[in-house]
Order: sequence, then structure tokens, then C-alpha cells
Amino acid sequence: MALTLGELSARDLRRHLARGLDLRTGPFRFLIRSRREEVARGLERLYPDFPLEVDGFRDFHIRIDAVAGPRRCYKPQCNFWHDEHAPFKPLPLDHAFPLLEWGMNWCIAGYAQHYLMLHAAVLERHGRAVILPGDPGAGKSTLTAALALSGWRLLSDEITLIDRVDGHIVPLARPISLKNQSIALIREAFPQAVIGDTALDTHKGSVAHLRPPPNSVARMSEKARPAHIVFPRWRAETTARLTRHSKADAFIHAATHGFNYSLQGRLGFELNAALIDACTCWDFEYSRLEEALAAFEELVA
Amino acid sequence: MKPPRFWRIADGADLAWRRWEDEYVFHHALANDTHRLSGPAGIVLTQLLHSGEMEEATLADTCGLDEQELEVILQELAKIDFLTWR
Repeated sequence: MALTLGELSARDLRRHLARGLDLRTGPFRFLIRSRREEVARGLERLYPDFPLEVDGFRDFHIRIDAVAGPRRCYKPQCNFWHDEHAPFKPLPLDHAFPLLEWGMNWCIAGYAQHYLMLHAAVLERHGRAVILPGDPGAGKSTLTAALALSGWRLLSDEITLIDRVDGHIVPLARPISLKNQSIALIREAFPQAVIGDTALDTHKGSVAHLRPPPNSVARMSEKARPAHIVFPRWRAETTARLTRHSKADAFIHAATHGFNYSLQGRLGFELNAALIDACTCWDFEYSRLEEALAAFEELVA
Repeated sequence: MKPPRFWRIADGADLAWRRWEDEYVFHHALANDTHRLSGPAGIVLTQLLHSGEMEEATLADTCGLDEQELEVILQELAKIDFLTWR
């Protein structure tokens, strides 16, 4: 049985992290190095249930550290390195943990071409996975967090991985990225939720990450069968309701918002088509979380 | 009177398609392009995939379209390299 990150003492975690921490998330293994306290604290709070591995192949070698140079004295910054190459511009030091999360997403989206990858959240209940594509501001992450905290299995908040052989969904079970008002909203609705530090003034506004439920992490090697695609839209003072969404439109949305649909060529078309064939597609408007949760429960009843 | 035109799927297009309700999605393998098409455009393409080359008037009859409507569809499909004619 692999050791989990939460089983390390605070001191051991920081010692491992400085040398390289082998973290598994879904099918990927990251070697994470950092001397930043923000990163250690974020991992400690949000990844305690994730297994640490000792032997075997590492998919990604990443590092988050402070940027050297005179600027560190008056406006310290951090950066993300993948194989010692820095693909992003440096960010303020207190954005170190969100930068780690964005960097991990960047690694998967850029390199995991052996999956079809959609830009969507995905959760599972009663053996049926519900995919939530959503434009920014549509309320996707808020809804994902509420569902994950209400007994749904979180497969992913950001990247839906489709297995190219059987078309099933491969879990990642990483923390959920909450933005702006949704941070307070989730804190209030779910006082038991574990939410990390809030990074202010990022390019997405205020960002904080929600710890994935332990059960979702424990089942992160268990694939799920796609059943529904739901396009959420938060709208003030509306009653929660599901209406049918055109399958052809859902296909095009999934393709154009996919990370690698075009790269997959004909196989991408066939996988996307099989996904749409397997799913019922819906538009979903909501304003109150409790109504949204009831509507989703009915969807998979 | 204009000479009859014969339409067929463009060489190398290697089309794959799906129909959901009244809409079609086609994939053009050579261009690696995906297009969402209306019902009538989908009917024209699937007819040509099934029968090979067809003369325009016969194609209009077979697909239940009037010639003007068909002309617009054919021009649009030729523009995205799905069809060609002689």
C-alpha cells in the first residue's frame, strides 16, 4: 500500500518537496520540487489523500520556486518549470500554489495525447458520469464543487480525459479551482469544505482550491461510463431546469473546446461521436445550489 | 440552356459522418475539418456518398430539393472542398 501525502509529517513533507515529491493523480505521476512554503501548505491541505510513489516512471518533472534576481527584494516572484524549462511568465510569490495547479493542467493538456481531452468538469453518481462543459462564468466550478461535496464522485474539474480504447472517462480527482464569489458561496453552503489559501488578483480574479473528497481520490483508477453532457448556466432568480440541447451542437462544442480534438484526426471524430451517441445532452439553468443538486440527483436516478 | 453538371465527393475527402435528429456532423479527413451541416446538406452528401457521381437535376429529385435550393447547397459544399463537379 503506497504512503499518502497526508501521512508525512510537516517536516518530512517539506524535506521531500525540496528534493522531489512523487505524487500520483489519476493516470499521471508528477515529480514536484519546491522550496516554497505556499506550495507545501497547499499540498498539505489539498492533497493529503493522494498516494506517493517510490518506483517507476514519472510522467512530468516540475518545479515551483522563487525567481532569482534583484526583483526578489522588492517584488518577489515565483515561476513554474517543466523539465527545467519555464513556459510561463513569473507571477507574484503568493500565487505559487495556483501556479502549480495551472502548471499541472498545462502538462496534461500539452502532453497527454494518448487521451481525447475535453475542457470540461466531470462527476459520477450511480455509475453514470455527467460532463459539464462551460464557458468562463457559467458556474461550472461552483456546481462541480457543490456536487462533489454532496456525494458525487469527482473525476475532474478542468480536463475530461476520454480513454481512446473504450471511450470511458479516466479520473484525475485533482482539487477544484474556485473563483471570486464562488469561494464564499461554497464556504457558506458547505462549512466542512477544506479550501486552501486565496490568491488575490490573479488573471482569473481571486482563486482558491477545494480539496477533492477522499472517496474520489481513493477511486481515481476507476473509470466511468459517460451518460450525460450538461451545459450549465447560472442565472439570477431562475428556477433550476434542464432542457434538451442539440447533439450536433454538443459535438461541435466538445470539439472546439477540446484540448486535442484536431490532433486526433479521424480518431478524434469517432471518439467524440461515440461520446455524443452515449450521452443525453442538456442545457441547465440554475440560481440556487440546492435546486441544482436536486435536479442532478433526478438526472441519474 | 446550361449544360448538365455532374457532382461527386471531392477526391481524398474521405468523409465520415453522424446524424442526430435533423442535423449532421461531417469530418473531412484530408483537411481534418469538422462541419455541422443542415439536414438538406447532409442528405445531399450522404446521397452522393451512396451513389457516387450524380447529375444535378437527378440529385435534386432524389433529395426532394428544388434546383435553386440545391444549387446553394452544392456551392457551399464545394467551397469547403466536400464536393467537386464536371
